[in-house]
Amino acid sequence: MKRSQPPAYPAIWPLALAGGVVLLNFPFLEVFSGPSPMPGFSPLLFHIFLLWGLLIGVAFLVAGRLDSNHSNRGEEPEGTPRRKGRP
Amino acid sequence: MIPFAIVAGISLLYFGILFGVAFWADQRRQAGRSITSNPYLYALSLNVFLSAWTFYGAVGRAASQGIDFLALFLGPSLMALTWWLLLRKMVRASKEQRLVSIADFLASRYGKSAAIGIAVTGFCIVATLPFIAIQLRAIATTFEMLSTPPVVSPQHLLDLFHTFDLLSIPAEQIAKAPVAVSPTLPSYIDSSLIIALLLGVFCVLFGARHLDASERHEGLIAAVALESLVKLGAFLALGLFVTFGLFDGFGDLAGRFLRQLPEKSHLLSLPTEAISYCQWFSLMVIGMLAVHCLPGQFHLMVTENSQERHIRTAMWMFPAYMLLFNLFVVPIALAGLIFYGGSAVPPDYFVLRIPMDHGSRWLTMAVFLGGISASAGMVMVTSVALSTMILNNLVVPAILKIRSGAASLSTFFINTKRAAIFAVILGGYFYNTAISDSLGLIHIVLISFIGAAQFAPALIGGLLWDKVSRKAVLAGMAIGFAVWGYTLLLPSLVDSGWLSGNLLDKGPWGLSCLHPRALFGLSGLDIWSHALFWSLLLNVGVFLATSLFTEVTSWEQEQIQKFVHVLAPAEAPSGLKILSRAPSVREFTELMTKFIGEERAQSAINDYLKGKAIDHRGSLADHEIPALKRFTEKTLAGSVGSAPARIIIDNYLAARGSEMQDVFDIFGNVTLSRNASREQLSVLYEAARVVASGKDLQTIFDDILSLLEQQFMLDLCLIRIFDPAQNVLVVCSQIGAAQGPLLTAKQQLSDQTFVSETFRTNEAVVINDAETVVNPVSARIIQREGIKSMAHAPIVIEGRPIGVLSAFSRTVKGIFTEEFVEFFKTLAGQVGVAWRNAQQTEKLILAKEQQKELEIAKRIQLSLLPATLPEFKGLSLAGSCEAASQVGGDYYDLLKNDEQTVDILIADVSGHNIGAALIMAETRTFIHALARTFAGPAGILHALNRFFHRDLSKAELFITLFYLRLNVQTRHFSYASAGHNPPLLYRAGSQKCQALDAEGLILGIKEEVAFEEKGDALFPGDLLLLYTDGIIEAGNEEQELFGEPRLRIFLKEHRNTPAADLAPKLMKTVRRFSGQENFEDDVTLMIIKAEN
Repeated sequence: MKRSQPPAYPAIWPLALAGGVVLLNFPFLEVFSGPSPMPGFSPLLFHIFLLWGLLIGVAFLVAGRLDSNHSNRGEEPEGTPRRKGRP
Repeated sequence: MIPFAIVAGISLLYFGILFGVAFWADQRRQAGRSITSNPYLYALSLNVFLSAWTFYGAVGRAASQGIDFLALFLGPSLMALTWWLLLRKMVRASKEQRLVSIADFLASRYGKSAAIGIAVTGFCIVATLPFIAIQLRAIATTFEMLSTPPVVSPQHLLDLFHTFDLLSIPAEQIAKAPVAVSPTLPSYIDSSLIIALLLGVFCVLFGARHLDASERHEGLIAAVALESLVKLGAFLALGLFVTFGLFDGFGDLAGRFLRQLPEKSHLLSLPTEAISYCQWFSLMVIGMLAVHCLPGQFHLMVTENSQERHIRTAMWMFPAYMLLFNLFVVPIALAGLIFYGGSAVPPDYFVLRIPMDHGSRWLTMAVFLGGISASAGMVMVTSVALSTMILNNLVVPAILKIRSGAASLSTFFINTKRAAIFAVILGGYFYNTAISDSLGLIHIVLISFIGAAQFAPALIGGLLWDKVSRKAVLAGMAIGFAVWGYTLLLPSLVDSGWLSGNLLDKGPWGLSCLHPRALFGLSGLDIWSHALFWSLLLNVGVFLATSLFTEVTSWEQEQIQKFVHVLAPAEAPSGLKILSRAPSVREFTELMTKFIGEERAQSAINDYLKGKAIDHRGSLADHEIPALKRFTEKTLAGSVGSAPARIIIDNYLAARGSEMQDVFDIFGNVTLSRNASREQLSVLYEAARVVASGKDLQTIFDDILSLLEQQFMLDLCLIRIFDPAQNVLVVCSQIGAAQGPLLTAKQQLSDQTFVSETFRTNEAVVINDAETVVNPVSARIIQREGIKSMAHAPIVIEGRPIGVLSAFSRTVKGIFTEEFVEFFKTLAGQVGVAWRNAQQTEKLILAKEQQKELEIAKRIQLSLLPATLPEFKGLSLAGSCEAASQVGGDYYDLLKNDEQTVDILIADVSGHNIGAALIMAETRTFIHALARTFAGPAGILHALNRFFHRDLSKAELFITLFYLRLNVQTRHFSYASAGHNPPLLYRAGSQKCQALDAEGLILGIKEEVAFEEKGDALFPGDLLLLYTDGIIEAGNEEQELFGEPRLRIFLKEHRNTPAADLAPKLMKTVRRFSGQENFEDDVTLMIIKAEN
């Protein structure tokens, strides 16, 4: 019996990937390449590291939402209907 | 400065710790308690990516060029988001097909192409040498920086030792201390060479102890993970020391940098003169691709992955590690510029120089060890991965082609792998000596990264697109690497002075359009963007174009499913039998029991079934079966490896209810599987497939022997089958050459040979040292044939030997271990199954031929029965005959003697075979020829009995027969019976049935028999039924017979039914009673009805 697979990989990852590529390249970086508002502070580096951290956060969330059963072959896939009752 | 001895000592001590950790991890794995099967250790090990080029080179790059190095880490961080799709595909495909390197992976993906394997291996070697070179350079350079000067003053030494609190030297002894106490290496010995050799030894110990490359190198991974921790710890310690120890935080550091070196403020911004946005983007792409394509990185990510779920942790932990590491790169670079801005200290080594000059010696040593960790980890992993590729894709195919006669190829192979490790590391060493010292670490590593990126179209395209062909990959990679070599590798050699500088000035032969850094006139790009653009453009362009215009071969088509659709839920393979009934939990448990033992199988299945519902038949719901199948496969994989486990499950499911089930039953009889090697299992399963292939027996025998010979490098393999006619064992199949006819001659069972003994005793015979054989007959054969060892196993069917399977080696003694013998016996069992299948097939064919003949006989017999019955005024007649088998012994007939009389008879010859049919035909002939010559039925029966007595006695047959002569006008009849069932006459007047019985013995019993003849008459409405015993002896499930009473009732109930309809109705009634469509005995009847 063939069943449709539940969405195991949250759809946010392609958005995060595309968003990361866009926000970490020209022309977006140009926005932060201007003079620093305060001495010793680099807006560009701040932007890069902040976005980097956000991407890691997204990766963490994506990984957390991945059904662990899907990662282990041989275990029950997410969404498999269960019967009630004793084994 | 730290004395050489201390630096060397601490370095060796650190290697000793790594060695200890690796050894401990290996021990744990052997004890079944793996420490590296851990998501965090897996993620940590992936950070080997941050090698010397990061630890030292990133700071150097930040101090010299700016912050573009960050793009090399942002690319992999972005790609980590795709890993649940891409990396998981790679891991699953690799595990399922035992792929152990990127070369294996690509070769397998594209139809198991040897050409791709060779090409990828070659390109990897060339592309990776610069990468290894910088690791060796970093270790050697920092080692020399830290341990110089070689001659130190006593006070210096005293201060140093006091610093480390290693010893205290009394002040009065200072003057006595030697002037030069630090041993140094002679100038002719290169420290980087020693380091290269040391790393080589470590790699051999933990990466090439065994030949099975699919086995994970747990010791190596544990060491690499520890190194990742050490390098991160050391770098963070330095970063914190610099930022908060030497300065008052990031603001203070940046502020002082901008005040002191305002002209270098561009280093903190984008774009700069040195870094364009284009270069930034190129580096990001390079990082994205290289992290998947570097052979060492692929090895860690894919081959060393123990569980797919570890990828989830790596998706965030790998980029988090890189972020953490890079937090202090810029601060350390700025500090280095503040301290050494105008000096000759190379920026790549600010990381070590700052603690040397401004920090404690402990911190210095920690940073040094961090650098060693960063470099050594990547060298170790890369060299092990490359050596595996060299062995699998270059050496083994070559050896198998020339078929070396070496006594033990496994020793040769493992030594080759070890030599390859040293060759790879030494290759890096020589590349390091060849290239200019002025090139920064990142500069050199980018050459490798762009080279590795040439695999990306084949690798990623091959996972996502099913139209890619082998030719496209070969063409794309070839042109990509050619452009890479021309635009990057060649200029680096020119920069190092190895080639003429004219190439970079004016282009080759003065052709500026072919300038390596402005190819086809494309100028204005940095060298990385330029090389990446042209190499990938041409690579991908050729790759796409060739894919679109070439067809994938059937081999490639087969592999596409295993890669592109590897994550799709497994469906029943086409061509295999569709399961009409879902396998039960018990079946899966029994299958597991055969391989992992009952206790473990039960325990595993019980754990699995917790919380799941099973029905009364022990089956799960249909939607649960795929998950149970995967669970069974996974459990088996733990014992026999993933690929064999998959084969077991697939074959088992395909074999249910077929001949293949026999093959699997063999495994139940021999408990070999847990101890059997993967090679042995591989042969058994291939043999099982061959047996079930439906090929002819000779081909099956030949194929099985070929499998045996190829896998175990045997010199001669034989299958002998017993010929009962000659009482000898005859060679039916042979692979490998015998020196003379002795080995392949027919073996009498009485011969004093090991083959005969094996057959007679039904026991395997193994001779591991043929020189110890004392039996003169065998010794003579062994001596003449030059045999060193041999094994014979009986081919057994249902406990009875039917032949002998033999294997001989002329080169090696002692190869037939107990484990091998168990395997050998199982293989002999499969040969037996093949033989039995062939025998059954032969019988089946024979039976079909006989069936065909019987069909013909049946048609002839039917033609002997009256096709139509004559019509008489006031009488209606009907007859029917159904044989239990194709031919039968029943017979009815009607002979018109004249216009007034007609003879009606019914007979039953015993048996339902050809003999009975022949007798029936003979009876008919006799009656048709002579019936009219006798006065009445009794006379005819008498004559018949005399005529047939001898024949029937010989054939051990007999005939019952009822003969009736009827006057159709008067309706009077006379009759006689030869032991036949008395016909029933239903009288319409009395509404009762009357049996027409007459004395008479069965024909063929006695030569002289007197037959009683009686007479009677039919009246209007009477119904006469002549029948054979097939009707009244038809039984039902309760063992009841239809019997004469039911027949009487039937006649009474259907007295008004026309005769033509009565026959089929009676047949139907009897069928309904017996509950069967076919009668167990022949059934014949004849009905005569006197109309009103």
